[in-house]
Amino acid sequence: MRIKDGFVLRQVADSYVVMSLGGELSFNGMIALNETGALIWRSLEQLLDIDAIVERLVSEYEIDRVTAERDVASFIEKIRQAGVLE
Amino acid sequence: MNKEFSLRDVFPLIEEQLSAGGSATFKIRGTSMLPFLSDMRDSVTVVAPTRRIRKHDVVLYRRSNGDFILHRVVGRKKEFLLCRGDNQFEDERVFPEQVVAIVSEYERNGKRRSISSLTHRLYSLYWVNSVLLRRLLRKLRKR
Repeated sequence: MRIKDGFVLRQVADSYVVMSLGGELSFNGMIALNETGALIWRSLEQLLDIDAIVERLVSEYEIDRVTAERDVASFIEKIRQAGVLE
Repeated sequence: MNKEFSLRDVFPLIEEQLSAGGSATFKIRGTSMLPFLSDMRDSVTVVAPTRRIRKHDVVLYRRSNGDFILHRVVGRKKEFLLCRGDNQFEDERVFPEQVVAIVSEYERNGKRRSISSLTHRLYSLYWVNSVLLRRLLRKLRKR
């Protein structure tokens, strides 16, 4: 599971957005991420597996493992549906 | 995960995307391009201006105060363009270095069309050339 080439994370004001560099950047329904989403994204860029990402969330945000697992699974499902993963 | 951003906020992204050869699509804000484009309903797709800008093109340019404006080119002089919103009557001088993008497609009332489509070309031809008549009608209405 990795992020497709060309998709990059950028900060806009107080949020983060994902864009396909060189493709079509649409602000109508674009993927906007919060801090947690951005952290998961960066972890995927570093090719961390799901367990490692959950571990990172637990240690960085001091949340329980069940919540972290749910956040990661939900995030991955969203970006998978957006066609960002391969 | 959807969120509205101002053009000023997202401009660095648009600039990066255009220099990578991509396009950017965003919703119209404001009423200066009525009746062609409606505030918060319609959107435009812009690309880097790699060709010579012509009369009737719709361009995105930056004013010296940092504002981004999307207006139509209604004339070309040697050193600058004359731009005007479709809902306006005053021309504005725009220098080539102010132009950041050119509209390639638009979505109006849910329908997506190329800016070089016959529909748009005919509309632009009529609209730009009827400005004196429209100005006169407006004056008469105000009396």
